[in-house]
Amino acid sequence: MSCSVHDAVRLERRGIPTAVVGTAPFVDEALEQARVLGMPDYRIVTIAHPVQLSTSEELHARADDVLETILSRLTG
Amino acid sequence: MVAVERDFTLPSVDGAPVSLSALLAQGCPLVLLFVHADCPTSLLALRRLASLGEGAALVCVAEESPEVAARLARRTGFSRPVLAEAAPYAVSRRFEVATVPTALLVDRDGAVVETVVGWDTTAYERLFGVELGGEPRQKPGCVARGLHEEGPGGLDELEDMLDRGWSDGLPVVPPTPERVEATLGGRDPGHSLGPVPPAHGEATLERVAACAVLAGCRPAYFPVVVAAVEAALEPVFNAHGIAVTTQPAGPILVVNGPAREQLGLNSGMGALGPGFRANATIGRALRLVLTLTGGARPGALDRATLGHPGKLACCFAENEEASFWPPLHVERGFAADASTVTLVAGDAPLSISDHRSRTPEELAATLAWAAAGQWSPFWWPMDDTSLFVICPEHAALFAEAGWDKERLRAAMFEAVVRPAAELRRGETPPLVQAAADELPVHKWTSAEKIQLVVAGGEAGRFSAVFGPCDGMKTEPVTKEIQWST
Amino acid sequence: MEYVSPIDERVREPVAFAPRPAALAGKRVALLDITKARGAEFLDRVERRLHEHGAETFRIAKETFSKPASPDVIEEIALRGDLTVEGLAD
Repeated sequence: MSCSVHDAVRLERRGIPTAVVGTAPFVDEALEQARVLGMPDYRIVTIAHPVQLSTSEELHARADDVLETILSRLTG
Repeated sequence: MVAVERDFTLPSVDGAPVSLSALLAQGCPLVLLFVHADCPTSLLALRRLASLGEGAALVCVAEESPEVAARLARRTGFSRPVLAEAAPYAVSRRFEVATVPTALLVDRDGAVVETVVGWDTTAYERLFGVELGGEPRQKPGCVARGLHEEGPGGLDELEDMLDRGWSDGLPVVPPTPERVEATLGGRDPGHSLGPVPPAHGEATLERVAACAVLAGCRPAYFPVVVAAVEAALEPVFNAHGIAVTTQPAGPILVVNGPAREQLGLNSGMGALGPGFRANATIGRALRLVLTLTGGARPGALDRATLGHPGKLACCFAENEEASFWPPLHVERGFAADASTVTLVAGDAPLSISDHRSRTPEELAATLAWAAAGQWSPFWWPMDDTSLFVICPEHAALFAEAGWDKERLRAAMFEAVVRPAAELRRGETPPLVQAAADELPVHKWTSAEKIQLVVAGGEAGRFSAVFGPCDGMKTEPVTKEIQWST
Repeated sequence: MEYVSPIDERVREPVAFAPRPAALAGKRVALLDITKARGAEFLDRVERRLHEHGAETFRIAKETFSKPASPDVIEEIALRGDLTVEGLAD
């Protein structure tokens, strides 16, 4: 998660809005990492944990559930 | 004027005396904010509250001289009145201020109607009726100066270190300027070894020295600590991945060359355990750089699900004298008389007992099969380093048989192999899932993943192996120790 | 008592959010796979849904999830893309 937040900050600096999707237990870490990198208001898009044992249908459903959130982070 | 309980008079930063009763006469209720300049949370509080408007009823009481209090206000942009309180901090004591920052909401009689200890955004927003924003929303404070007797060396100083979070949970040595200067030994304090991930704090020699002092290092150990940090910051080591993973991964330092004897590094009996200052404090100093300067605090940016006790400190010397093989640093291209550190990422060590093998083949099989279950008994093969620590009695058996490291590695690699069908137990790589049942699968992708060093006491047949870190793309790094400034 | 801090307390320069476009239609979205298991499947679904909203997409992967993306990956996204969805971190 920390590495993805690093990527997001670098991309945002380059003018590329970026949405990072991660599972819920990593929210605190992402927040702390974003803060130390100078983007204290950056938020990741969260889906339920765990994913490793999910079926494809379950994974797709989680993607569908967060699509609006992803769009709201990238546009407007 | 109504008599004010616990009235006091203190100089403001411009020297003019100010009394509590006079302040309350100008406006009440009033918030008194107790701080001192060595407390990061106090600085945070002053910075956040600097944005409050002219009308805010807030006065800062700094447990400092007027000059230091004035500097504190300038540094933080705090423009409300600041009073300066010198030792023995009678006002702080009278108001029972144990922690800074502490905010006391005081009514017109001087009675305290509300208290906020440490930084708490919500509480301060309520006190002043404004939104303050920013992160973190909460942060613990530090020991107030007024609480205990002033002076270095007391228990309160050690508590202060722990309150500031400058620790791994154990007591640390306060990094006074004198101790840090002695550690630096004339080196440029501002020279940076680079940013330390994941927070990218700069590893200036001054900060590395502060960590060495905190860890309990002698100044003589500092060059080893510097070499260790340099090794950790090499991109191929991947300090970032190791720091933030859910794996137990920690840094393992192996020291070679004359430095071992010069500094009292233990390579013999108990080499992987406690009891030797150089081993314990050098390993600890590296971890403090990664945790404090690099920000990889367990529970925050360090997400290790369990971690392991070796993450406190893991540093030992190779027992070159008990080994018939070239030492690790020579194997890695350094001169025998060079002093080096080799940094390897690994999980907790596993103990390997073998008291009965008589042949090198038998012993090689024991050593290798012990490691077979590390990380996972089924997730094979692993493209990651397993660092074996071979005890002198085991090393002697291989030497008597004329086996060099290459031969031993090859034998260990070949010994641990199972057909794909036996590995399909859930935690199985896709490649093995799809393979033919009888396809032989090794524990490691190649013999090169097996690293060997010799350490331990003369008697006893217990070797050890540090668990591999899966998928971290981490490579061992060796750095020569630079003695001069 | 003054001490030498082991912590780099310098306040980090704030980084502004990149300006957002009003809508997705016609934008190119990079789907950045951090290469953990199941991530590709997740991004497959996101990609399909983004197409439904009129976005163009391209796939790009990091060398490893355990390090920040290499400068090459960042460069490529900056050159070819307008937006990024990165996943899946678990």
